[in-house]
Amino acid sequence: MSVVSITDLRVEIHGKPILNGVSLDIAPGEILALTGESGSGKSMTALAVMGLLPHAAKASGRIDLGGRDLLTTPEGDLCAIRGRDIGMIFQEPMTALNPLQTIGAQVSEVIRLHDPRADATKRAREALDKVGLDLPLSRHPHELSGGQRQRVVIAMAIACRPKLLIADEPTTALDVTTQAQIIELLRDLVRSEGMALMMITHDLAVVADMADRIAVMRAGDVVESAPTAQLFARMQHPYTRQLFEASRHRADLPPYTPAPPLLQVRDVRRSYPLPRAHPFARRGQFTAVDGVSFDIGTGERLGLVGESGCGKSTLTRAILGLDPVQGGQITLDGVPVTDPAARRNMQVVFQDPYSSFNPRHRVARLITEPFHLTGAPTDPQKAIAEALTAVGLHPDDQHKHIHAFSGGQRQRLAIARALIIRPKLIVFDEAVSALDVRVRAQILDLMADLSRAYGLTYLFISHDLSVVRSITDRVLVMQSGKIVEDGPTEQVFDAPSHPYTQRLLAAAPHLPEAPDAA
Amino acid sequence: MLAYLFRRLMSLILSLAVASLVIFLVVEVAPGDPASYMLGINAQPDTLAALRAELGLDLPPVQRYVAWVTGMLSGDFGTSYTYRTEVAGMIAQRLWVSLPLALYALVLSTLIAFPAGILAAARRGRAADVTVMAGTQLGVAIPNFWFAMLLVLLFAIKLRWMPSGGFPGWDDPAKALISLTLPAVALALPQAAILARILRSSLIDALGEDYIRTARAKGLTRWQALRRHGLRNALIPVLTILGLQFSFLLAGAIIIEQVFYLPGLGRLIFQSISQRDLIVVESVVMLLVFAVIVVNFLTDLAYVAVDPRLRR
Repeated sequence: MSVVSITDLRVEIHGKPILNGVSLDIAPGEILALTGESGSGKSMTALAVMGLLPHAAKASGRIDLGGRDLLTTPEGDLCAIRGRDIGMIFQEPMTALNPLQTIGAQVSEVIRLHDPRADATKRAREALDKVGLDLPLSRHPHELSGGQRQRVVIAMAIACRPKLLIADEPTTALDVTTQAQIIELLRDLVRSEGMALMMITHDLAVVADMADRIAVMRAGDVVESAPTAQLFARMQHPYTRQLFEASRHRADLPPYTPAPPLLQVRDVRRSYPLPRAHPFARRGQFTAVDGVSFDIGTGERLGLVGESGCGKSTLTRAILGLDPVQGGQITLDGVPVTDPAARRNMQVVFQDPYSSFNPRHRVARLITEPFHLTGAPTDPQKAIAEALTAVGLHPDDQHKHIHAFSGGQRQRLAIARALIIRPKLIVFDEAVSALDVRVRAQILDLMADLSRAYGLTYLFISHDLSVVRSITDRVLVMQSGKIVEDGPTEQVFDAPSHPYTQRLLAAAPHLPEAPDAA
Repeated sequence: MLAYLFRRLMSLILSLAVASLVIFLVVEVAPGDPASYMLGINAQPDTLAALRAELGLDLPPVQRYVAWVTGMLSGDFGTSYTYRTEVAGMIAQRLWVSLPLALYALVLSTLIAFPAGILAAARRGRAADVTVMAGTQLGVAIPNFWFAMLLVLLFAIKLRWMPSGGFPGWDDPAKALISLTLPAVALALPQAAILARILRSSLIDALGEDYIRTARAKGLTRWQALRRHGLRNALIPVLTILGLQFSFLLAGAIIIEQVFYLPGLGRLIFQSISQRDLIVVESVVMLLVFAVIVVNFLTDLAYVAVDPRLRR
């Protein structure tokens, strides 16, 4: 007997089909992973089960929970079901909690709501203990780390011992070590409480050794659904195979021949003043980057990995010359990076392709922006056409606005914008983290092609170890403001010498080995 | 928390010091000599000199500034050039009209704005929202003195429920409140319209946040989620506007005071300026600045009460 049984679920929004007949079952104690790229309908499926579809959405089919069809259940009854019979965990723990209420108040609210006579405070404490959060109930969300906040969200979701738990990308926003802990926690909870878990993720590796069954979605359809081992062994649908291949894709980088250093970072220290503890206290200092030194040779592709808060963003800002440093020196070709002469030899590609372009300008203007550093070229049309062609777009695309492009195309435009002035160094700041696996593979290939054609030198910053492995020659591992390991990429990944690197690599989710071609 | 309070308090004192200096300098450079204004154009030079000495106008500016500030600190605001009475007494009398009027209008405006703003946000895009938005648009657009005249026409002249103007004093509080009602309504409505719009948009933003989705996933109804999680999060911009509005209501009621013949601060400052009664002008402006700064300080405290993230 399954906990939830979805039959032929169809959803459309303003006449546009979103789900075309999704059918899924989850048994008690079973973990079903729902995977697929963005827009495949996995979150919509979850929202349909919760009864929280957008107003404009029309749903048909049947979602059976304990003999009741949730699609025909009136809103009032759904409110009683949500939180009690179905718990939900969301992607973004930083914003999922009310910032003005204590964590105790937020966890006990769900208990009080569904069982007014319960000792809500006591049970909130129990729920937080169960998710391994040993913090007072009186804490506010801003006093907690991302992983701790996600534990609070999980505590809220399981506080009423629901039959079904839905987790929508619960670890995507977390660091690898935290991710490993949260996955462990969810797995234990499902086993000990006998809940059914619907786990939504874009990352096959995350669910590879956690899910009992995997359902692969594409454009509103479940294209393949099978027990995990069987799915990885057979991969009957070509789309599943494509996803799998893209996830473990290695770009074909041209070999790097050691060359004199281009960027030199020497003993860089960057610190921030902390707020005073009391009016007459001395201001404390938080050192985000603590005596960091490294070089990037001309033509070298260097990776920088570390978890959130390790100082990699601060270091990046310092390298880009955006922030002053409190000690040490950063030079590009011998020129300090704060000098405009160095700025015009450096460009950056950011993480979010949706917010890093001004939506009111056309592509031609967007990608020629860096020319203000160098002065306009003699033939701007030629430069635009070249840059667009180099990143695999068409010269005619220059007349379009940014909203006409997909996420992957936007990231190509971001690279075109960086390339157009032929900088000596490009900084990729989590540049592929927001992309779907297949698009990500294409962008990585593009970077390899560009390396071959233009002899690019870049610094690739990411929290995603597998991506760094596939696109860099050498890698730096950063922890608490210091570089703890520095070595050729293959060597660091195969035989990490620092305990922190070893921990990171152990925590990173792995895909099973590729099956033999069928 | 203590550090925050201390910083706010320091900035309050500093603002007051700077404000007093600016006010003094502005009045100092303003054209017109109060002594010659008081005595008329035919005054004898020696009479003029005697009056200037009596008023202390012949002293050097630094000395006069120090005397003015130390006087104020001990409650002595000086003597009005025109009326020859204690400025402190004059202000106190007017304050007993303006302060209750401002508070009355503020309470009314809040009582109207909160239900309207919440209703509009909760029923976004539906009839209730459209009605509230149209009403507030009107409320923002209509000048309050014109609206005041309409109120007088209807409630004082046609229906004869309330007096058309004047203020009987606080001997009979009920009567005093009745005579403040029409001015308070006239002042409150435009403020309520602005406040309702701010509350609506701030609440709509809050309702789009992830924690509202979390609240709904817990099983709260839309309304419960709005009330328990949305409202307090939407409050910060509303508090800012409330603070600004109170300052405006205290000082900006000049026209409404004229329409209703109310002996308030606005009229006092208007009269004093036209009569070159500089000592009164300085003192009233200083008082208003003081009120604004104190209200800002209270607003800051309210932020901290609402948002725990500011308590550090």
